[in-house]
Amino acid sequence: MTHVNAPVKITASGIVSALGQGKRANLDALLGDATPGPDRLSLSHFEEPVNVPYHSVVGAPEAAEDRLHWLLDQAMEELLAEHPLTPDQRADIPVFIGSSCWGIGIAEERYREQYHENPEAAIPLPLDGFSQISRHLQRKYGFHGADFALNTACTATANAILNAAAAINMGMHDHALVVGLEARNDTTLAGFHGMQLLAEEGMRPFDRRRDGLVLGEGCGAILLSRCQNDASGTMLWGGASNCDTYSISASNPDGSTIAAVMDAAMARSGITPSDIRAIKAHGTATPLNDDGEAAGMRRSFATMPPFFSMKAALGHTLGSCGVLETLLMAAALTEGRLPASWGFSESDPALGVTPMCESMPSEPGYYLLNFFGFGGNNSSLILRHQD
Amino acid sequence: MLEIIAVGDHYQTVDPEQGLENLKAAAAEVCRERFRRIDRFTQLALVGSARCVENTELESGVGLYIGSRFASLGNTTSVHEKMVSAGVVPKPASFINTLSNSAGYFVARNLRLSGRNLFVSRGDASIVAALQLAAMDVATGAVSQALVGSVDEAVLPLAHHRFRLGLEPDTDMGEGSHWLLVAPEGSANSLATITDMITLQDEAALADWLDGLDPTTAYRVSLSPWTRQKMASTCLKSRQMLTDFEPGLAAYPGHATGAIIRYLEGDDDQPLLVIAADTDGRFHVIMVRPAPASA
Repeated sequence: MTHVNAPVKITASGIVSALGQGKRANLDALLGDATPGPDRLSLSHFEEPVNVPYHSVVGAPEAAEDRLHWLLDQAMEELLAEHPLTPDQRADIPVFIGSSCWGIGIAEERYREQYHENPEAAIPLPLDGFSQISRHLQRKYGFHGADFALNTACTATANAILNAAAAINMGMHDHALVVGLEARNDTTLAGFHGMQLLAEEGMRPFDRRRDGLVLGEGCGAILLSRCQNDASGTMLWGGASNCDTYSISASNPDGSTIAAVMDAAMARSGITPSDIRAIKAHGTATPLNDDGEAAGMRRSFATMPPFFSMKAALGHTLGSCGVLETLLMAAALTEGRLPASWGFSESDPALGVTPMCESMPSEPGYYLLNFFGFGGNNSSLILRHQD
Repeated sequence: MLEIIAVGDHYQTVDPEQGLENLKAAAAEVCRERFRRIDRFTQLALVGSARCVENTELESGVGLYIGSRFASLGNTTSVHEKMVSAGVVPKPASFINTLSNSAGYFVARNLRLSGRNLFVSRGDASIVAALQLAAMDVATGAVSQALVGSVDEAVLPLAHHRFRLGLEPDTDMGEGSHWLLVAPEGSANSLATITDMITLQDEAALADWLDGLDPTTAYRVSLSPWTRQKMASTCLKSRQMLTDFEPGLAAYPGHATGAIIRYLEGDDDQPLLVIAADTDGRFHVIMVRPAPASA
């Protein structure tokens, strides 16, 4: 097999999540003995009681716009401390952003305020939500290059990473910035509540008793850079994405399209299933999604590598999970350890696969990361870690 | 560079007296199956995309790219009105339709596409972002061709809609679903070539870029409605090689793509520049050159 495109290096990154501020705090929690469980949120604006579990970020401001900017600042300041970019570099490099919330929380808040003052004059969605993250990156940090506000549900930042790598591969840029952000908002929480996709308490990916997902918030930022094939560190080696038109809200449970995207990612990376050391599963703990992912992994791998999901620890951060989970995977590989699959305790014979119960040492080599979303969007990324 | 090998669209100037056109019949006409609970944004996407490829055999490995400023605006404003005024939890179908890529799912299902499927937004320059993504994926072999759409629905009342778009109170409003099937540089059956898809930091950068154009060539220029209303753009007015191209379209975020299609429907032999400024002072530009055979 041939490696289709040149790899790109994860040069710097920053994160804030329910596990804490910065990679160190996140890794300590993820690789430690226990992770904090979700809080419970009561949404006060609805006629029926809406009380949901949620992985909130501690210390974030309450006001929606302040919260969005604060989350973004935590991740960006860690990234820029690790790899300062000159003003000229910032003005030029492309910025790939993925999110599911964008400015929806700000829009909700403004509309609600207007409505209480004068219902007749209130304007729903009074702002351009998709531009909110890019605007802050431009005004505060000077990132004036081409920006891409990608929204493909839970694959948004996985797709952003693929296009950021493509932008570097085209030879026009040495770096690309990828940002993923999810902030608490009523539309998303009530929407998932209405779809009855939320767990009663915590997430149990691939567990027999799994009963749904728990949403979470956070922000992650990754700086990708041109590199040599033999560079040390963690590189995005390749990836692929496809569209499964079986159902708008679930992948084909027979696993065929999930297997297809994993197979394509490995083929474009010039590797075979036996090269994969471990899989970071999407693992949303909804009965159907875990069925489809388990079936896909069984199709693609004659011998299953170890696999785990990060979502019981982080919460499902929707469009930003591609960046958050990829940068934590890279940080864990640098640390030399893979996290346990939090939330798992009892195998489901119907799935035919069992995730890692314990943290384990990692070795140099290739790792596969899965991300799937509403709208049939499936993405798989291949990382290579080299000491 | 990308070759445009097919185009198709749906466009409507919104008549404030008549309201918005009902798209149910137009969508049913182009759909292979009856899609239930789809919203108006998805209907627009289905109609425009089907018209673009109705006479074209799609290759396997075609990527789908939708650019839009607000995505499913009508459905999302309705969800928020019910949430805020009555405390109603969004119904599952309404919530799913607030996700920007729902339309892409239905277009892929209707046209039997299984490859890359992206939604992207960048204000009135969303088509520039979509074409830039398509160009990256074509260049790196992730897709063989790209079906790129610019879909923007109008929402009543128009006064609210003009406010969202930052337009003057009396601006004529429109909506559109404009689609381009694009292929790698040098592909056969090209209608025109997209030679440039660029983002420029400010007006000085735009002036520098214009200075780099061939001064002996005349160019047609189409500005987005917001750019025309809000930007002085002295660097455009001072260059005699640039003349206005008026596509005869009302105001909406997808105006740039509508202008490209109207230009291709004419017999202009001068290259076209479509330019959209944004509220942060940047300029986003696409240059289209007619294919030699039609020039």
